[in-house]
Amino acid sequence: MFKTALMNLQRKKLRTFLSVGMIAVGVLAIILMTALADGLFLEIKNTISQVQGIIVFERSAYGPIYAQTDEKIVYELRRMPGIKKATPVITALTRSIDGKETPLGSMSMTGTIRLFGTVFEKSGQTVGGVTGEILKGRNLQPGEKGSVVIGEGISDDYRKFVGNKIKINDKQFVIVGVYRTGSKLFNYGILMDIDELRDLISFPKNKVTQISVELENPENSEKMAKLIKFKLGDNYRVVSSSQFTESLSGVLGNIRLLVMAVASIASLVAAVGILNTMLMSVMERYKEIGILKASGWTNGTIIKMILYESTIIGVFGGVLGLMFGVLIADYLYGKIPVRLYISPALAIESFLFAVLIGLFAGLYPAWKASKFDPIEALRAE
Amino acid sequence: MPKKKVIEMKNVCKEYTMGKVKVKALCGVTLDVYEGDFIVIIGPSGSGKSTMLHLMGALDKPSSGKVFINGKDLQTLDDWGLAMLRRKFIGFVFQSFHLIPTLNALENVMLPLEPTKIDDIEKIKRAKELLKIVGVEHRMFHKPTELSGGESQRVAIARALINDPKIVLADEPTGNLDSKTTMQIMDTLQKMNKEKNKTFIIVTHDLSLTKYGNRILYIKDGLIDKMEER
Repeated sequence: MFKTALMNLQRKKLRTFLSVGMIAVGVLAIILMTALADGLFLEIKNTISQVQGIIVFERSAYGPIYAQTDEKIVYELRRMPGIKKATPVITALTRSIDGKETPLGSMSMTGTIRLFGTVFEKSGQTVGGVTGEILKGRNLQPGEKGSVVIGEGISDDYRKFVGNKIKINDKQFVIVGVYRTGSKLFNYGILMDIDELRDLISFPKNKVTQISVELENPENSEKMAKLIKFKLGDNYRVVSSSQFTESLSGVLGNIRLLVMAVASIASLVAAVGILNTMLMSVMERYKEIGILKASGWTNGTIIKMILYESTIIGVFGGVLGLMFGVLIADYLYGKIPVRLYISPALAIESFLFAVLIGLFAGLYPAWKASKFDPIEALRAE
Repeated sequence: MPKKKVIEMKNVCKEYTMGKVKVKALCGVTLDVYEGDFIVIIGPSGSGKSTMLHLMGALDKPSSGKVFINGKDLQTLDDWGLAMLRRKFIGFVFQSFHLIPTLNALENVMLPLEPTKIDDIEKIKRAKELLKIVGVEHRMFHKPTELSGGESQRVAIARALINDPKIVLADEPTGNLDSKTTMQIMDTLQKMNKEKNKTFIIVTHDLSLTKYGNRILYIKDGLIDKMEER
């Protein structure tokens, strides 16, 4: 039966090819759009996973970047058992680099450059709670002024290296080091002394944007977050990185669904296309189906044959769409800021979707063909 | 030994509704067909001979009266039951051959067996055998477009016989063929009738075919006008 269905499809090669193409385009739309959402999600998750421990900031702010938190709670936190380190951090976005304006917007993936001002320690490899490594040069010394350490992203984009000068907003700095973290977002950052940054952006005295808390036992972060919250009271927000990931997953999960729904519309159009193709193909074979029925094919056998045909279209469309999806994702890797991430689940889902579309689009034509009256069909001589 | 009845028609009527008008295609036909019969049904177009063939081929049910095929009352069967009856007992040959253009001769012959559980090797064996009997074995890998009218009809006859039916029904099987090929085809049918003891029912308006039948039915206005036995 499979072979017969395949041969039937070969009769009108162009028509079959177009139907397969329609499904492939639908699948491609689903794959690329979902892969984009997944890639974005992965990047953000990466970024968050770089942030260790707990962030404390003022309650009224939308997020740490906009907060003005009292610096003195650092001392309160340092006294709490289970806390290894509490570091005051000021984060801000640059206005301009070397006189060229930089885009604002905290969620923008490229162009935005974050300034991290914090207190450096002699042994410090983590900055503002972000894990990283110094690629070239060195880290800042405690209290060091006039120097910055820049992220790898800035070094690449602005062609700045150790020893070069960089003008941030209106002030000139010397680059003493280049760092790298596991997150693209954090690689577009500049580190400097906390007081220097405070001067640069005229941040109020005795205020910071957030306090980064490092725990003695990182697995306890949920529990410690609750404890800190209890201790500091309702004026502060205490966010552990795992909590942050969770709430973000919720939002991004919804976005993924939305993206898939939109892409599915493309596939529904393809389904109507297959429906039309199969209907035409069945009508053209009116007589032939009459012969098959006269030779003892049951209605069920006819339905089976047509469903085979439409499902084969779905299978080929799915394979083709998937293939192009992978090729395009591969081609775009590194060319666009977000990696298109095609997870095995996405590949399987979209392939099955194509197969099901083929199957469902065949139902009506198959039913119609099974209802052909062999006498009518044969009389059409 | 008395001959076995393969088809029994009892006072059969068939009506069609064309728009709002009821048309009687067949009325009050009673006929017994026995195993090994070679029946030629002659009649002008519109006489109801095709309707009769459809009823005898389990393609249709009578409006009134009874049709039994191999002892089965058609009235008691649903679509599936009729299809199974056709699959087991009946083969059809048509005027325009109706071969499937993308399949070669061998594949066309095997087509009725596709929904069955018979394995491919057996199917091919049977099909080759039949193509040999009807004399187009050398053309089995050719597509219908590469076959002559006579060859096509031979392939169609092999297709009608592939399920080893008791009854073969042919609707104007030589209608598209020249007189020489017509004779060859009829000879082939007669050979199958004699050698395999299959029942043949041929519908035609070609009077020259009457010489092949052991029973000749003349149909006129939905009735059996005259029956000749030989």
